[in-house]
This record gives sequence, structure tokens and C-alpha cells, in this order.
Amino acid sequence: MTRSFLLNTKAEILKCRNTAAVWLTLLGAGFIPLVNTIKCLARPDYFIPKVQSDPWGVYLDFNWQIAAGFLLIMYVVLLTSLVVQIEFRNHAWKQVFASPRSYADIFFSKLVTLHLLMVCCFILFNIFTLLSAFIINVFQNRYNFSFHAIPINLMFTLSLKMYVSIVSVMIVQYCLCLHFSNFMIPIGIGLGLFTAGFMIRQWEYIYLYPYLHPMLIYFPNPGLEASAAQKGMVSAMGWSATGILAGITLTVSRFEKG
Amino acid sequence: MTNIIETKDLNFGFSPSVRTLHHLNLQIESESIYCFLGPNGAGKTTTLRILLGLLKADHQRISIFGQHLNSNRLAILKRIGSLIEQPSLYHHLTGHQNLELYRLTFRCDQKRIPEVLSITGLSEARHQLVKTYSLGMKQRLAIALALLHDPELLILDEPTNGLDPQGIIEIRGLIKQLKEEFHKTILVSSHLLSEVEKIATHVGILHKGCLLFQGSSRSLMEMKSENTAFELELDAPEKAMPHLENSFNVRKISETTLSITGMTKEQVPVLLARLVKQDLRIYRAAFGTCSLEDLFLDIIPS
Repeated sequence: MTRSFLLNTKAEILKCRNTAAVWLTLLGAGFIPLVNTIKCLARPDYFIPKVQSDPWGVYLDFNWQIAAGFLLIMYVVLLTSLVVQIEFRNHAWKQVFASPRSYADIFFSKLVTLHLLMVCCFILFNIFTLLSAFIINVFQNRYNFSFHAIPINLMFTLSLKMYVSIVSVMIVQYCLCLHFSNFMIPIGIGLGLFTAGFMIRQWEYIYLYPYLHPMLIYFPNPGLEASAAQKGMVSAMGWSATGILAGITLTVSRFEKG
Repeated sequence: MTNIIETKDLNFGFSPSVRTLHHLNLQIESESIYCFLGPNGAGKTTTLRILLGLLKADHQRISIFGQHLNSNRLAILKRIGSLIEQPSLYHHLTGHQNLELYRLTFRCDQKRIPEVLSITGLSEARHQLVKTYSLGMKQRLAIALALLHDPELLILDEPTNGLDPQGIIEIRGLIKQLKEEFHKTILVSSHLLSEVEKIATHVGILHKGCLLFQGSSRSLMEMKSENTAFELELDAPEKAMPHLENSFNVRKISETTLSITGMTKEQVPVLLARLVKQDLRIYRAAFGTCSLEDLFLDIIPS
């Protein structure tokens, strides 16, 4: 059972070859560090005084605040649609369901693939962040990156927190993609829910709302109770567990499979 | 011969008010080519999808390899290769990569990939992206995929759909080869009677969700010839009429042509010999065509 699950997961990963999901992961991870590199090199007079005292801390914040505020959600919404659409676009669900695979195997092997792509994106994002800092330092050594140790622990903790915060959205989006055979509907719903969340971000129970978890967990939340970020983490895990149950129920109970 | 597939009183509807299948009792023998014949919308694809567990139905009424589908889905699917509607292929991958994905799922040996590629004549195109394949090549790759794990039963839904005459001949030859050389049981659906005649050992005729006929293709052909008019073109029909009217229903359809119904193939040489003896000159003697619709009209009252 475990072996066949691993083999099917390998097959799911192989399906992503040459797809937009892989390019999105690669380019999505590199986009923010690239823009920040250009920004820091173009306006050193403005950024050096801000960064000089704690270059790594400030530079990591430059990168993560854009990711946490907007791009991470965009990436996850697009990624889930692209990965699940591989089956819809090629009319391949029926062949998947007519193969000797349990419903749980079908559901989880794709979910693991999504996780792997996201992990790759996070690792690449950190690598590109380091790389961009080195490039900036080569051209403008007054940024002082080389005089400070790389905060590996901070990078790891931040990545882990943001990963937990975004997994709940990924699972909700995954369920939507399994339900709607259309590529645009889950993307539309995802972006709509994110926008709606942004509009109600001062709501006292906003920590229950998955699409605002990355923002809630990364940024300080003036006007909200101090524990909002921690509650957001717990809520994200709760949403992930509920999403998995909903997704597997959806897969098993589907009237028409493929 | 044992039955590989059996359904008992199988009913199905996409909604409670609209029934698509009515009391379907299929019996498909092993090592047969069972052709499921019916016009578009008859319920052929729906039946095949139910047999593969792709539609929610009363699977307790379906037995495949002697096992109930609801409780043995995975064990049964391991022994079935399928092609439902258009080929399910990943267009951004090569033919070889497509097969590799399913090789992992079926856990079969690496050597099966070149084998099935060779059976389906796709060895040379194996490293080509599927999006560059012609429709016939895609269809053949889908069959290669169905054959990959060497299944005992193949379920092929209209495998010649959209193919040119050459492609149709190739697929037909392949299906025959699979039965004769590899002893597979093949359930294939089609809406073309002429197609079925060429490959089937057994036939099931489905119309509006009801199984109108089920049996060997020989019995279908007999029934068909009984219901097909035999046309005779000769110089003096009036002179021939007295020799025919006692035994058959004869109708004059033109100045020189008679239409005879209720005649079997075996009676043809006897009849022709009798007419030649009367010094009648025969220009043409042939059974007319029997369309699927004609056959339905003949079967429905019975």
C-alpha cells in the first residue's frame, strides 16, 4: 500500500514536467528577490540607511512582507488550479479513477505533489533571497551583508510559520479545484475570498478566516488582540485538517468520477 | 465458457426522474469480442463507465471476474484495461512518458513499455510529445496504455471514433490480434453495424437504455439476413414471379428489379439455379443494406 502510494505520488510529480506549475514555482520564488535586488541597486542612497544596522533582518522583511501580504496567496491559488487542471485539460480523471488506485491514494498523492512544489518554492525563495543579497553586496558593499551572519534560524522559522499559514488556503483551493472542472472558477473564488478577507481584516474573529492567515501571522495587527497571530496558526491547522476531510469525502462521494 | 462480466437487472439514471439504463442483464463470455452496439445516446458509454466504477450505480448488481464490483473495485480494476471516450493522455508529455506514469501505477515491468509500443506500432514515435500525435496515434497510444499491465479484459469505448479509413482498419486488426494472439476478452462499443460485423464474436444491442438483443454475432447475422431484402435484377421479372411467390414475399420495385424478403443466404444459390433453368437472364443479385435503424425496427416488436 505504502509502496504503491509512493509510486503513484512519483507518477503525479512526473505529470508536472513541462507544465506551467513548475515555471510558476521557479519564477514565483525568484520574482520578489529580483525586484528587491533591482530596487536596492537602483536606490542605494535611500535603502542603505534603512538596511545598514540589521541588513539581513531588514532585507528578509523586504522580501517576506510582499510574499505574506499578497504573492503567496496568488501563488497557491494559481498552483492548485494548474496542478489539478492537468487532469481536466487532458480528460484524464476517468483514466485515473479507472486505475487500481484507492480514492485516498488519488487524493493524497496529488496533495503531496502540491506540498512538494510549495516546499520547493519556499526553498528556492530563501536561496534566491540569499543570492540577491550577495549580488547587492557585490555591487554595493555598504549594505554590510558580509559583516553579519546569515540568520539561518530566522529564515527557517519564518518559512515554517508562513508555510503553516498558507497550507490551509492550499487545501481549501484544492477542494475547490476538485469540485469545479473549470480552470477559472477556483481562481476567481480564491481571489474573491482573499479580497473579501482584506476588506474585513479588522473583524475580531478574522483569525478564523484562512485567506488572511499569512497576513495575520506575518504582520503586526493593530486593533486586534495580541494573540490573533497565534490563534491564526491554530485556525490554519484546523482548516487544513477540515479541508483534508472535506476533500477526501468529495473524492469518494463524487457521483461522476472523471 | 464462463462469463467475465455479468450484470443483473442493472438500472441507472443521472437523476431520479430520468432513467438511462433499464434492467440491463449483460453476459460477456471470456475470450470473446463483445460488441456493444447502439446509436448515440443509447447508454453504451454510461454502461461502460458503470462497469469501471466511474459512475455511482448499484455495483452489487455487477459481477466482474466473479467478484462484486462494489467490494472488489481495486482487485477488479487491476485486471482491466480501458479506453473511455476520447483518449486520456497527457499532451505535454511524450508517448513513452505517458506509459511510464501508468507503469508506476500498475507496477509492471519496464520491458512492457517497448512491448506495447511495438504492438500498437508506436515505437518510432515514443519520444514525440503527444500533442504532436495524429488522432490515430493518440488512439493507438491509449490502447497501448490499456494493454500495459497485460489485462485479461479490455473495455474500449468507440476506439475507432474520428479515425480515417486506414486508422479504422488498423484498430480493427489490432482488436482481432489481441483476441487471437493474446486471448483477451474485449468489450468494445460502437454505433456502426458494419464495424461490428467485422470483428465481433458476440453482440449486445442497446437502444434507449434497453438491451434489445444479446447473443453471438452469427445469430445476429442470421436475424439480419432474414430481415434484409434480397434484390434481384433480371430481364423479365414477370416470368420469374410465379417461381418465387410460393416460397417468399416478392415485390416488384422497378421495371427490372424484384425485392424478396424472408430469404436466407443458404437459399440464394438454389433460387438462382432455378431461375437460370428458366432461361432468365440475371444482371444483379444481392442482399440490400440493413442499417442499424432497420435492425432496431425489426427487433423492437419482437
